[in-house]
Amino acid sequence: MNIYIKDMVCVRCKMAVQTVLENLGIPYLKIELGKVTLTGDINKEELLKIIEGLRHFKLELMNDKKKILVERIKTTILQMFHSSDHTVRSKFSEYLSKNLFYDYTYLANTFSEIEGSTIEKYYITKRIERVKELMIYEEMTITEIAYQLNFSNVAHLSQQFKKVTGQTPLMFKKLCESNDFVWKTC
Amino acid sequence: MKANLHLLIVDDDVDDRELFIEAVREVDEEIQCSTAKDGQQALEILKNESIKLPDFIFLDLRMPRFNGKKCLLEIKNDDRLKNIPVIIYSTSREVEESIEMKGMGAIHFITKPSRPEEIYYLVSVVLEEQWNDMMHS
Repeated sequence: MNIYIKDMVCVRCKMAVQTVLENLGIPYLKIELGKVTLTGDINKEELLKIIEGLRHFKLELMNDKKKILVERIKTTILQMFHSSDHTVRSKFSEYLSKNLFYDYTYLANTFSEIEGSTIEKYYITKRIERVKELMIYEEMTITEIAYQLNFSNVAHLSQQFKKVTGQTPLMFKKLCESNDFVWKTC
Repeated sequence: MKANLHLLIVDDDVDDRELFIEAVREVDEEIQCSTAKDGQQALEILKNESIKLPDFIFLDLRMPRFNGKKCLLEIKNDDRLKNIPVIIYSTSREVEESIEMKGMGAIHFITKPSRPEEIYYLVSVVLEEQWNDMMHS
C-alpha cells in the first residue's frame, strides 16, 4: 500500500521517513518525495505509530485525496527541475498531465482550490529557487541555467528572477558572495 | 521572448483585457497585443486581410452576441485562420469543457486566476511553453 506524506521536499526528509519506518520495523519498497510504497498493508495501530514517528520530524500523513494530488503535483514539479534527463524538456502542462494522468485544467484548478494560489506561480517560484541553487552551489552560468531549466532565453530568466526576488541574478550572486549573507534552505 | 510576437485577446470584460495586456507587457514589453470584445469582432479583425494575423489567440468563452465556442469553430473552419494556435482563457473550471475545446482544436485551456496579481505567472508560463514549442518545431 501507499502512504502520502506532506511537506517532504528533500533528501533529509526521505531519511527521516526511512528512520521512522525502520524503527517501527515496517517494511517498505520505495520512499519518494511525498509518497512511500510499503511492502504490504498496515493495521490501524501501525498507522498511528507512523503518524507519531513522523511528528518528531515535523512531517505529517495525508488522507485527503485532493491534498494528496496537490502534494504529488509539487513533487513532480520539483523532480522536473532536478532531472538531468533532457527528454523532460517538454511543455510544463503536458509533463504534469503525462506524469499524473489528469487533464491539466483539473490539476490547475485542484491546486488553486487547495493552495489558494495558482500552479503557475508555484512553478515559477520553485524554478527560481532552483536557479539560485545552480548559480551558487553548482556555479553554473546564467546561460547554462537557462538551457538546463528550459527558459526561452536568458532575458526571460532574468526578468522572471527579478519579478520573484526583486533582484537581478547578478545582484543576488553578489549578495551571496558578501560575508553577512545567510541563505535559508529546507 | 520573441521579437514582434503578436497576440489577439478576445474578451468582453474590459478589465480582464487590460489586466491580461499588463501581464503580457511585464513578461515582454515588445509583444504586441490586439483586442476584440467578442467573437464577432475577433473574426472581423482576423478576416481583414490587410491586418497581419496574430501568432496566438487568447479566447474567452462566455461572451454575449458571439461566444468563444462559436468563434473557435469559425477559426478552425477557415483555411487561412485554422493554423493560428488558440488558447482558451476563461473563468470556466470545467474539465469536460476543456476536453471539448481541445477536441475542437484549442491548444490549451487555462482558467483566469482569482487574484489579478497572479495573471503574470499564468501568462508567463503559457507564452514560454508556446514559444519553446515554436523554437523546437
